[in-house]
Amino acid sequence: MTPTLLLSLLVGEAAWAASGAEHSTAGLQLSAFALQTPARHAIVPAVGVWASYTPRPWALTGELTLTRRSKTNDYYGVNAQIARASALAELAMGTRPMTMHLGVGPALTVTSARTEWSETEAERITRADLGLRARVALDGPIGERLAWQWQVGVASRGVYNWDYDLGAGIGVQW
Amino acid sequence: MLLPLVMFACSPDPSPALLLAVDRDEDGEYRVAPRPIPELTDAQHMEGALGDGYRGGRIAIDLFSADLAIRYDEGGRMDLDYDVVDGVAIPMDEDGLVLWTYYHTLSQVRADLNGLGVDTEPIWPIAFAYQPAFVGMDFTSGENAAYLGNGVHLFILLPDALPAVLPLAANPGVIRHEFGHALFNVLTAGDAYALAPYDQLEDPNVTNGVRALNEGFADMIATLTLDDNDFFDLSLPSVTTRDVAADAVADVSMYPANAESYDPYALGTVYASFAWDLRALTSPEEAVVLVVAAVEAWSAEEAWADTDRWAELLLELAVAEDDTLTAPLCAAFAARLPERQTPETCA
Repeated sequence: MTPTLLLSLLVGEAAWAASGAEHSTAGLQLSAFALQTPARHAIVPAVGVWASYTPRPWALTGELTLTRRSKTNDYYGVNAQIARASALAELAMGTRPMTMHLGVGPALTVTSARTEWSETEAERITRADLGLRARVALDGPIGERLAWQWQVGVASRGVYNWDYDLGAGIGVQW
Repeated sequence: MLLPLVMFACSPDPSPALLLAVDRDEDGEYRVAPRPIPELTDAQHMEGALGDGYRGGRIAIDLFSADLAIRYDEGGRMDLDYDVVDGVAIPMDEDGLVLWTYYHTLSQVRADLNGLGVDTEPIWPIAFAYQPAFVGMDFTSGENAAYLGNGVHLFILLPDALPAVLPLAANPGVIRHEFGHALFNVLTAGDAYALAPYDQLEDPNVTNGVRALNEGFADMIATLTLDDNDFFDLSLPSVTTRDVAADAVADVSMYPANAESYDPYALGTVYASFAWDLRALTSPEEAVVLVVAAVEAWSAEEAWADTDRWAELLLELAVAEDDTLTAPLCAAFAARLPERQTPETCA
């Protein structure tokens, strides 16, 4: 994004905000997660919900996303469920019908993994990691009540584990 | 046992007494069980006396070097998720099981062979790469483990392609097989990082012939140290041609003649089957010591173009140890290598 374009967007946003424009969206989202495992990134599907309140040029967005990663064979099974909640303070740019969100905020990721290694031996381990979440999202209306959203994002678990996601969702607006 | 445990972003004990790993039990069954890995001093980052692991990285050919040198650009430091419950480290995903199995297997084969007087120390430490990228190399297997010699001296682990079976990278036999390649390189090249002399010959058929013996030797190390004639069955049940207790017999089509395409495994399985014949007549321990000694003797002769000579040397060494082996081992030799002239020992 060039400085001129950024400036024009911000000036435009200021004018839009002065007019009191705001909207809210909430919905269901499907994502592809590049989940950083201890030794690589694994691609897993995810489902989540989001809610955004957008008094331009600002916005507040909350997300809750669930995903899982599992592997079972004759010798062991490892099933991990991962839940992430995040709250983002965002810059909202553009005009309705399409708004771009640039957001950053804290994220809490809870991972609960059950490891089975014989017919009788199993252990569930649950851990929570604080981290940072950032995203770039677009949203817009579908008719009067419905809304869509598309986003790419990144979230950390602790300092060294970074997950990436790409998703699209549909919801409502008011 | 179900004991929920909640951790909040804290590091577990880096040197737990026991870690879960796939292993062959005394009853001959493979299962996941707690095992000690004394050389693994940092289980979280997979670092220890046997070598350090890296996630990712890339293996590339240096196209501008005179000898097209292969190099490994190290990836990031590993960071396993696990917790220690009742003294046992339990991983939170499959990667931990794969990686601890790998390290435990190396630890065990090192102890087994050193205990038999086979010096494995020149091999250590050896780094390993977990799912590296390959640049300019024909290495497209979705799931495998490999040893990269050629001066690089690196193990490669590629997990995950087949969901329902034990990954090759977590198969103790496959890891021992790859270790066997590293040992073959040390025995024949004299140094873990040295280029093997047969890899620098002009005749690719000679190089391919040594590849067959190399594959066979790697299978010998795996089958004899595990005392399992068909370890591939855990991961590739559809592959039945690597069973060294079956009826593999050499024929002229198994020897390299066409440098463009050559399958080293068929002839390698014949050699490994002959070693298994010796094991049936002696013991796994005696057999593995003799196959190593035979490779040393074959390498001393620099008989690169005559890999059957290794089988003759094995026969000679075994008979020199115990002359009651002469008749049954000569019979096995004739059965496995029917087109080879009868060795002097048998005549």
